[in-house]
Amino acid sequence: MTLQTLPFNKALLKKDWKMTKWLCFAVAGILFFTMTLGVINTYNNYQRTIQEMEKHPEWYAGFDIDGYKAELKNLLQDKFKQLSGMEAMLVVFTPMAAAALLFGEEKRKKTFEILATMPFSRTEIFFNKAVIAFANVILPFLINAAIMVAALWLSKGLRDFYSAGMVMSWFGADAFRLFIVLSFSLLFASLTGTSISQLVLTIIFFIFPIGFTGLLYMNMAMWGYRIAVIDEFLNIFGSYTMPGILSNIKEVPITFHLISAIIMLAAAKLLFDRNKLERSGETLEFETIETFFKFGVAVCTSMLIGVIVTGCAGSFIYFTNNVPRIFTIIGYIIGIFLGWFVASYSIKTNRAKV
Amino acid sequence: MIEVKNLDKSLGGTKILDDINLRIKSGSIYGLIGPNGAGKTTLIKNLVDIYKPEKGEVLISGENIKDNTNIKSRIGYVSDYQYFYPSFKIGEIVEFYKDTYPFWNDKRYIQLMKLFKLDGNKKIKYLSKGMKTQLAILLSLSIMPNILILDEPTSGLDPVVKQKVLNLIVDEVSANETTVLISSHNLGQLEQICDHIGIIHEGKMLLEDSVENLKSNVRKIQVAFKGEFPEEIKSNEHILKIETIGKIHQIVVKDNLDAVIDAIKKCNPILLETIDMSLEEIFIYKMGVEGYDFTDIAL
Repeated sequence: MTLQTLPFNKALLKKDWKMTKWLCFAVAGILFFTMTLGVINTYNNYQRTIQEMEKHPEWYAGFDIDGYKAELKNLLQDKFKQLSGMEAMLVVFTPMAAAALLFGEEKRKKTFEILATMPFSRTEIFFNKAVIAFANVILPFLINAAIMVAALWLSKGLRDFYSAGMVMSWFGADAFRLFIVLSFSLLFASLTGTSISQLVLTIIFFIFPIGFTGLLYMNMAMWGYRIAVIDEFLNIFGSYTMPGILSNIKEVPITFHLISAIIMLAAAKLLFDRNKLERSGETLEFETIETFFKFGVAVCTSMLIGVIVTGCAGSFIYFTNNVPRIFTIIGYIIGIFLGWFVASYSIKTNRAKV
Repeated sequence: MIEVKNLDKSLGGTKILDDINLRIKSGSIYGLIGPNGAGKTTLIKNLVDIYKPEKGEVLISGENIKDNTNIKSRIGYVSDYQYFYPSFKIGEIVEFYKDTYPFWNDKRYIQLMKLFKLDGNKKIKYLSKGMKTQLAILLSLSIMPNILILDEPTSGLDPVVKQKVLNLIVDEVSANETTVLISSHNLGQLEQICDHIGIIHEGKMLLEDSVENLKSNVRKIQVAFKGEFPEEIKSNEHILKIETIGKIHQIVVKDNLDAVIDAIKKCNPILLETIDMSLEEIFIYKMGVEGYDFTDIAL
């Protein structure tokens, strides 16, 4: 059996890293100030409170120092188990940004044309970009994990609050989430032709299953239908959607997400091989999905505008009963035209010049 | 050698290249000319594997260019617009090329850096269009190419640098037997350096020939008669165009110059001389024959 050597390419790795390293450092910095600094300062804060107690015992009469310590410990444990707002933002947007910088920007600036003339295969280009994207999203978390573990080694007192195992579990959970979002982002990198359309479509489809179900639910409710099955759908399948990976890692179907991420990666690679460079800079890489895209945007906008117009009518006009359905229908009509127009305009304005 | 066989390419539903055939011998300089929108850049992008042909193939040294990294490592390409990474310094982009091309030549790179007076620490986003073109030429020559494909390489360059670039191309061919394809609207420059010319129009190759043949096939005769211009000459099948300024008539003749001269001599001209045509004039007349409208162009 012969083993295929992985197509690592030093020149491509160096070039892609140079293009995107700022993202890695920026995310590492944000994560440090929003999480790591707080974690490694826990023992100092605890010590400061004890010193304050000794100085001013009258202020702390009845204060349970052991309870306080346990509370700090619980807080830290929660921090490692649950994603905070900023951490969740970083987990979602860092892979999207890395993929947009490495693929969409190269398409928009047409530097892909130069790469195509150089002695690189498409596989090499995709593989090395994927590696750098993964390094970009993982390294900030790894650096912060290393700082937190190093702090444990330097400060014995910190060991009462958290352990290296807890840090590594936190890192492992986020690495898993980052990998899933990155695979998803790479799929859209191969489907779109500019960084802006790549980012917008990745975000839309990231929230699509929940967003669309929510829209469907609201629209059905407006027509007087209460569909319990939608609630059920969200309860049962919510964890299988992309936003589902942001919940507690114990509730996430890890195998399902890992398999789907690998499928998305393979699809991204196959689609990337079929990308035509003459379509670089266009909203979508494939002409065949343009009608589907316009239709999808029109339907979603129609449902959204229908809800908004009905809501606005209900707020500004007094009706004895429910808001007349004609407002909902007007909203649908406005939305369908608006959605179709916006999608068509985006495709048309970005159309490559012949 | 570069060979293009039955190449078709459409962009945005419009057929840009239609059954293109091309053959460029090793060690020659081939000038590709054509009006704006003729398909020159599209053809070049197919030659360097940016675009994939819908039909036909591009062969370099007998091998298909498609995803062929070995062949690509010996192709230097200067595009019509320089797409570099704007945040990179010149030195960083040079490093990237050096790591990529196996035949990169440091000695030549240093010589060219001195010749073009480029500063390795300068960021690409601060370079002018001309400086970016110089950088692209420098990189393409430093990789020691077997094939050099240049899409309007002198646009945006000052006359001194233009001449330097043309000299470099000629030196490259004579020293290393490099095959060069160069597209330009500056036909005077192409005439200086090219040994073969191809004219492309509306996605089709109108003609391919050596510069020598082209110039000997199409000539201009300056003639004056005592009286009116003889009618029997006007109907001669080899005459492409007659222009009259006062008493002087300028006749553009294709293929059989001697037959036209003989016919003129029979009408007792008071002045008869043949003039070599420039490549630019030949191009204009050839395009005129193809129905390209020059009436609105101020020449």
